Amino acid sequence: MTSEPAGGVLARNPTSELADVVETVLDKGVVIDAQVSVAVVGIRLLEMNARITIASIETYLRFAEAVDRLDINPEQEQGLTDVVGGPTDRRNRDRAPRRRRPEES
Amino acid sequence: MAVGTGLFVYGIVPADVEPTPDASGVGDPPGVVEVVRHDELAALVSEVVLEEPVGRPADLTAYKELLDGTATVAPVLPVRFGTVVTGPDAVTDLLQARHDRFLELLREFEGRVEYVVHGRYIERELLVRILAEQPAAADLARQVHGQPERTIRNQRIRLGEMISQAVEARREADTRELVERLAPLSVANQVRPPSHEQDAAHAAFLVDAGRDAEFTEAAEAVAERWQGGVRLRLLGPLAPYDFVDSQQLAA
Repeated sequence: MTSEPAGGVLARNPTSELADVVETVLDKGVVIDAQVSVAVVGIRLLEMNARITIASIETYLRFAEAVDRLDINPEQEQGLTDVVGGPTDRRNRDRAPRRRRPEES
Repeated sequence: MAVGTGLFVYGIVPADVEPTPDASGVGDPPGVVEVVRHDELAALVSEVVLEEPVGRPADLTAYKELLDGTATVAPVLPVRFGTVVTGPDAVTDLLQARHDRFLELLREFEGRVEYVVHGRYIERELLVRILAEQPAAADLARQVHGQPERTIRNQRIRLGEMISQAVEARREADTRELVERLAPLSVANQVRPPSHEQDAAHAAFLVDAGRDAEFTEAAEAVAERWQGGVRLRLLGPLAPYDFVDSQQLAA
């Protein structure tokens, strides 16, 4: 898929994000059943919701918005072609500044 | 134990495990981690004040760090976060009630740790590729581009749905590829549900400690293969959170 030089591509134990901690530990582990006397402390479950709904109108609108951020120029067929040709330039990063038109047209 | 306190149970370990003096638990100030032993088993516990609910980010982190740290030196069965029992007797009861089953599971985890591999698509590359593969979506994208949102909301939803379905298909294929490449280097795997709409793959692997360098290399190779399209992260070694099935124990 790519012939880029190897090394350092895999992020190993990146700074632990709370989302990772939540995803890793919540709802996992042995559940101690009711046969033993157990009092479970009410967990105040942060302000974040670990379970997101992947298929929802909100998701669709976010994707549509993201597509809008691409440089699609409806007037010029070339606009989309250029964009479609974009990913072969592996230096592209999703947060890199955008230009209205690539230099090489 | 003081009145109004309980024991927070972190995990179950073999009886020869000793907590390190610097091990800190949940609560504010952090509880002192101790072991309660019964026969060949022990539970890692710390005292908590019952009126103070645990569940702050620091509590989750403390719980995870204790279990992950333990997993690198001994097998450990994580106990579900938030489990608090009345005192040492209740801990002994639970170790006794499930002694053989817990011991059997601990043997399965002996010398094994969990790694999680999580990939997220690079948005621009993802969308550009999907638009290139799906002319209908590209047409729709051209139509809605620059239009005021309220007039074309339905088309935008339709466009987003097409993209979303394409992402799902790609995620399925990429998840399959990830598992195919890493499964031979692990003893078990568990695909995690996506936690973000741009997730490429998310899976946990149970790995023999002796093969972790090999496993990491294989993960590195996948990251290189996917470079430019997916950012891949490797988390671990972790306690085997994804390989303890609470259903197994209910029987």
